[in-house]
Amino acid sequence: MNEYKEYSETLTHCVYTMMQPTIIVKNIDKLSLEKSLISRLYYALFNRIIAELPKLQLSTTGNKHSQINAILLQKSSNNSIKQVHQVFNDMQTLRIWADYKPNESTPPYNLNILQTKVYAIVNRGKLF
Amino acid sequence: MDIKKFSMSLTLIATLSLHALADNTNEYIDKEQKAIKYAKEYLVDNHDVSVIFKELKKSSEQFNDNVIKFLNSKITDFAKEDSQKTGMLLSRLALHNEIKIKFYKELKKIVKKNKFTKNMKENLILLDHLSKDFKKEIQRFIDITYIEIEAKNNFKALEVIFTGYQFNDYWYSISDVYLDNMVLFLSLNNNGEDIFDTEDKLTKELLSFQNLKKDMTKDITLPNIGGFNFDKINKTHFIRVSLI
Repeated sequence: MNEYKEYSETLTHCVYTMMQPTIIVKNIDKLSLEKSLISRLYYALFNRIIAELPKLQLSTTGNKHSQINAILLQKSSNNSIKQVHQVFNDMQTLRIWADYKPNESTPPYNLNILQTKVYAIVNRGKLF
Repeated sequence: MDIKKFSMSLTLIATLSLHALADNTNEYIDKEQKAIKYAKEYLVDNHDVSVIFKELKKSSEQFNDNVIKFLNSKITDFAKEDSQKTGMLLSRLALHNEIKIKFYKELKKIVKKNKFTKNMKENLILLDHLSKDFKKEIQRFIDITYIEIEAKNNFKALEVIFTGYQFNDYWYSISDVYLDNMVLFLSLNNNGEDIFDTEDKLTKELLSFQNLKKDMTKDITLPNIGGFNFDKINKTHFIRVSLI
C-alpha cells in the first residue's frame, strides 16, 4: 500500500482510538487533547490526498498545503473533488486554529462530525 | 498644576468582561485627553512638555497591551455577547484615536519651529505611529463586529427555517475576515442524516438570504466617517455552511 495512504489510515485509527470513552489520557486537558485530534485528522486528510499526487510527493519546493489547495481548486468542477476541497479547506482552518491560535475563540466543533467527514474521504477507493 | 509632577498613574490591568474593559478604556481616554489638554496649554507658552509626552508614550504602550491586544483576542466573544455595547466602545476608541492623531499632527508643526529636545521629537514620532497602528486595529475590530452581527443573523434565520435540526452554535474564522466569501461553520444535531446532504440544504437557504440582502442593500452607500468605513455589513457574504 502507498505509504501516504497507510499513514493516513494510521492517523484516523489513532483518532478513533483516542476518542473512545474508555481511553483516559492523563495530564492533558480536554481542549488540548481535542486540538491534537483535530491536527491529526487534518494530517490524515493531507496524507490521503498527497497519496494520489506522486509529483507532489517528490517535490522539495513550495508549501505542499497550498499546492494541494490549488490542485483541488483547479479540479473542483467535479462535485466529488469539490467536496474534498471544501473539507480540506475547513479542516485546514480548524487546524490553524488548533495549532497556532491559542487566543482565538474556540469553535463549537463536534469531533464526531469532523471524524465522519475525514473518514468518508480517507476511505474512498480513489479521489481523482 | 506642576508639570514635573504630572502623572497619569494608569492602573489598567488585564480585564475579563466587556463591561470592565469599557470602564477601564474610558479611564484611559479621560486621562489621555486631560494630558493632551495640558500639553496644548503649556505648548502655547513654549514650555518643555516632555514629561507629558513620556506619560502619553507610557499610556499608549499600556493601552496597546491592555486594550488593543486584549480586544484582539476577545473581540468575537464580546461582539457575540453584546454587539451594541461593543460597537459603542469601538466608536469611543475610534473618536479618541482621531483626536490623538490630529493633536500629533498639530504638534509636529510646533516642534519643527521650536527648540524642543531630540527626545521629545522622537517620542512624538513614536506616538504618531502608534496611533496610526491603533487606527488600523480599530477598523479591524469594527469589521469583525459587523461580521459577527451578520453571522448571528444568518444562524438565527437558519434556526427558524430548519426546525427539524437542533442548532447549537456558530463560528467563523477571523483569519478569513478579508476574504470576499466566508464559510459559516455550524454545530448542530442532524438526527443521523448524511452530513453533506444537510450542508447542501443549509447552504442553499443561506445563499437565498445573501441574494435577498444584496438586493436590499445595493442602493445603500454607508458613510465613511473620520477615515473609518462601516461598509463591512454590506460586503460580508457567507456563501457556504459547513458542519464542524
